[in-house]
Amino acid sequence: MRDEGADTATFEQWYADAHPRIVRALAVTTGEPDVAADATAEAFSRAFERWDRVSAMSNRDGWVYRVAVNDAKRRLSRWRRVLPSRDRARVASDPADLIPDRELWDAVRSLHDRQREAIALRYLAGLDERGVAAAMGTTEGAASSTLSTARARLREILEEGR
Amino acid sequence: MNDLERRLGQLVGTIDRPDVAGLERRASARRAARHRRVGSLAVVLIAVTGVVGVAAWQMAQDDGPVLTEVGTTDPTPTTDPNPTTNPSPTTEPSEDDAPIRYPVLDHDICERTVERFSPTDRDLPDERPTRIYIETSPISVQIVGTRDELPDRYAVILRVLDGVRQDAWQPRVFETGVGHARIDLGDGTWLYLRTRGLSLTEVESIVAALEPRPLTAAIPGVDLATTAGVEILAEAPELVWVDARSSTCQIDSSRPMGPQIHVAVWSGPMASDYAGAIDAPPPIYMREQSDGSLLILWGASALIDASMLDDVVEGDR
Repeated sequence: MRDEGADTATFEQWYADAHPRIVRALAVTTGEPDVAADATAEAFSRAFERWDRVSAMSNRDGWVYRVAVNDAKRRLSRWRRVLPSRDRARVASDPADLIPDRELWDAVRSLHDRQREAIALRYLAGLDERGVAAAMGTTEGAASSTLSTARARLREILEEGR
Repeated sequence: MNDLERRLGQLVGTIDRPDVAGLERRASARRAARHRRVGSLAVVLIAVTGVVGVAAWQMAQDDGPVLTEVGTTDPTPTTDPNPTTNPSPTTEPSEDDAPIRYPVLDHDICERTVERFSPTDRDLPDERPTRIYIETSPISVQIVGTRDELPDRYAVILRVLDGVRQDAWQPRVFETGVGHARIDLGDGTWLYLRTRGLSLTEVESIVAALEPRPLTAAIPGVDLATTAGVEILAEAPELVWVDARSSTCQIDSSRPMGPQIHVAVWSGPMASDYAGAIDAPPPIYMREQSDGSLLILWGASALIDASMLDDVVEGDR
């Protein structure tokens, strides 16, 4: 018989550990911390709903991240259709305590989407290169290459800014 | 860990985490909303907007998938002996299942179904009967032609910004009147042209007149030299982001026009629009997965029915 109390405790443990990493990674991927917060909550809600299956996954961090990304893209798409760009800029909230390193944030934002996502998964979500590859639906070699290129590009951008 | 990596790790501060009760409330709200939504998905899939809507109406009458051909050298338009005029999407989300990301029609089902269609031809090729292609990319969509000749003669031009080198395909026009070409622009982007009603000479003329826009352009698609004899009639107002993974069940590879069943998973904000616009020859069956992506199955009407959505399984990457 399924022990729901134990299941919930296991979920809560994973949720407490994974949520900060996933939501911060998604904030970088999307560039919209508010959207990332909502989409990540939605993704963990789905994970909780089917925890008996998700708990058995070898890469549940990658799974919940991918669900959150899909949700965030839907939200952003709706958002962009409704709000003109100047209003989007006003609505988006990224106070200094949330984005303390504005120089690096802007540099990361200027990367190609795939590079930014790889950086987010590696350094914010804390996945290893195999996990990054799985979450991005690519090979480990390609993920490694993308990360390497992204780091090099970031160094260039930061150097140019000095 | 070097300084850059340390800074990256601290790039975003703390973002509030809802408690588990909050997650449960979300789940309840989602279930309630889903009940209200059943029945509306079909409308959404068909009611595409703007330029993609134009393509949807036209491409729904097309007879070959686009994205399943990407990566092949031998495009194999589906032959549908009994086409229906209306897509028949199913709308029940697969609530209890983890979403499928690399869809493959179950091998046994694939074999049995195709044998039923062609019982005298049972030879199986050595290779796996499925092919998987993966794309994750923003794509610009433009319609090229002359206004007077729509909807009979036109080209859809996609610029795929995925950073992946692709082999070029020379312009080609099939017996069905559908044509295509693929051009590697050498900057990590590539163009795919899908044409309808145009001659090979006309397709070649368009290809020769293509002038890719700078990647910094708002919509980094293409412009056309005046020599093309056609103009850009419309373009999607924003890049279409598609994450598409598809495979084809085809037992007899010696008959490239033989029976095929295609399955795909699409995700991204415009996935349903794009699927409807470019890659949805009827009949087609769809199901929303638990992560919001669409599981899609299409092929000859003699081969498929909606229940086969249950036979789509996770494939190897």
